[in-house]
Amino acid sequence: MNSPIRKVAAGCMLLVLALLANITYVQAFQADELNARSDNRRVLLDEYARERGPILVGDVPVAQA
Amino acid sequence: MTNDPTLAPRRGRGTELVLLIFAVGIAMMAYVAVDLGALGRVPPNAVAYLAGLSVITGTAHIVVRRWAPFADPVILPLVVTLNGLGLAMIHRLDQADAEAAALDGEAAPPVDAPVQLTWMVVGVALFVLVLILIRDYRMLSRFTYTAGLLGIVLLLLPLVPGLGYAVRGAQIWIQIGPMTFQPGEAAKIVLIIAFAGYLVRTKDALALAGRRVLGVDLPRARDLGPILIVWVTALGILAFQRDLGPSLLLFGIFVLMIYVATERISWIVVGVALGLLGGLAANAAFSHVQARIEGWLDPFADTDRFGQIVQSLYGLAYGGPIGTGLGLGRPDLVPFAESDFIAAAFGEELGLAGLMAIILIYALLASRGLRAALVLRDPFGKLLATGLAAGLLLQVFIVVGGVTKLIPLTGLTTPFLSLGGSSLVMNWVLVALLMRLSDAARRPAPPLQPVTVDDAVTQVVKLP
Repeated sequence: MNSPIRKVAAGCMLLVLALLANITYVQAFQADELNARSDNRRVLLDEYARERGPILVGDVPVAQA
Repeated sequence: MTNDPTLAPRRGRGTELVLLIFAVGIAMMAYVAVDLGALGRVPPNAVAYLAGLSVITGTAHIVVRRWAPFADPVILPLVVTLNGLGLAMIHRLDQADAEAAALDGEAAPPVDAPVQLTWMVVGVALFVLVLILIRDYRMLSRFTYTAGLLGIVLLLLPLVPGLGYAVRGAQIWIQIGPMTFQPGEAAKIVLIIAFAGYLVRTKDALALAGRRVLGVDLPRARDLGPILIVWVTALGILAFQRDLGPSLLLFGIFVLMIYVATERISWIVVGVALGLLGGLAANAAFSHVQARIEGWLDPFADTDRFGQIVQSLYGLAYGGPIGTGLGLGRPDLVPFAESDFIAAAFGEELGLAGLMAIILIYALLASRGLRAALVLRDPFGKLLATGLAAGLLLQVFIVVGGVTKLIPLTGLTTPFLSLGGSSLVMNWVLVALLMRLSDAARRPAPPLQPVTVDDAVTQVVKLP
């Protein structure tokens, strides 16, 4: 029964290739589109965390971010 | 296979030791990287953690040296790597939860990583026990029908009132005192043993009798019995336990094994047809199955309802090709990141590269099991090894494919990575069986005693 075992192994390889192709598509090609979505909280949280520098009036900082 | 004494058989235990040092090193570095990323410091118990992992792994290695000396040297290191990465990620999610609780001014929730480490110890203990108790895997074929019955009982246990209970709608848990357990994980292994034993006994009837229709040899109606029974059981689990994953996995493994036993492609045709039929029936009958398929076709149509898969995709995208680094992403935004969705957490923090590496570790593990299946000489061992190895890979495909939106999402654990004792422990048992099978496959044949003509009884008529 080695011939069907080899075919099962080939089938397993196809499954693995399908997984790899799919994550490549999602993480490498679709990523920008997903990151740009307005309901994506991760990108929003990044904006909150960004240092934007103090707001100056003259030389005096009036607000610190 | 050689009987030449000048060619010493390669046991590969030294190779295994070196690879295990790498595996423990990876696990350790992942653990340290999580704390460095999230808290900016090396964890205070880093040395103790390294010592603990080394002792657990070393014990397994010594037992393999003594009780399965010819086993494949790559299997154990792969499993230790996966288990170690899983521990690091669960630790990571513990920290994210504690951080979120601190922001809300709440007490930190209980941590999961030490619990998972305890389960790893239990898993390795069972691994050791299986290797010591089961010296010859062929003894398992004696328990074919017992195993079949036990498997069905285990599947039905969560439906027993007072014993079983449901988590998130899936009735797949049992509770005994303070302990909870998912018997489905044990049922999977027991049923693979039962399938292997059963198919060895019946493969000829299944393969030879039948009729040819349109170039495909169709089996006889009476031989369809077993596959129909498994099909009905799988649908039954789906209907009563509201859990799609295990039914799909179980049915898939059975179809694969019946194909390997009979070498008839017609069984795959029948299996896929029955599977599609079952899927269509489930889609028509159950709203939770419909929701899964809708969420697969277009999760962005309703990002609240399909929040899990949407968050998972956002996490994967945020990680990108090389990931944010351990401790630096937001994997806790994905609901149930520590169990079903742990692949998404790895995709986010280790990136496409890391997730690919993890998938390839599973592929290597399965290939080692299938290699043992090719080399073994008895049909029971071949079927058992194929079922265990291909079953493991199928499980990874179903769960990782679901999380990354390749196929509709179904609930299954990711072997060795997901939080959960029953899954971790039972996968260690599965690996122990694979080690036992590969030990038998790679063990050299005992040297033949040379028989000289003088010793042999050659006389037909005894002369006085």
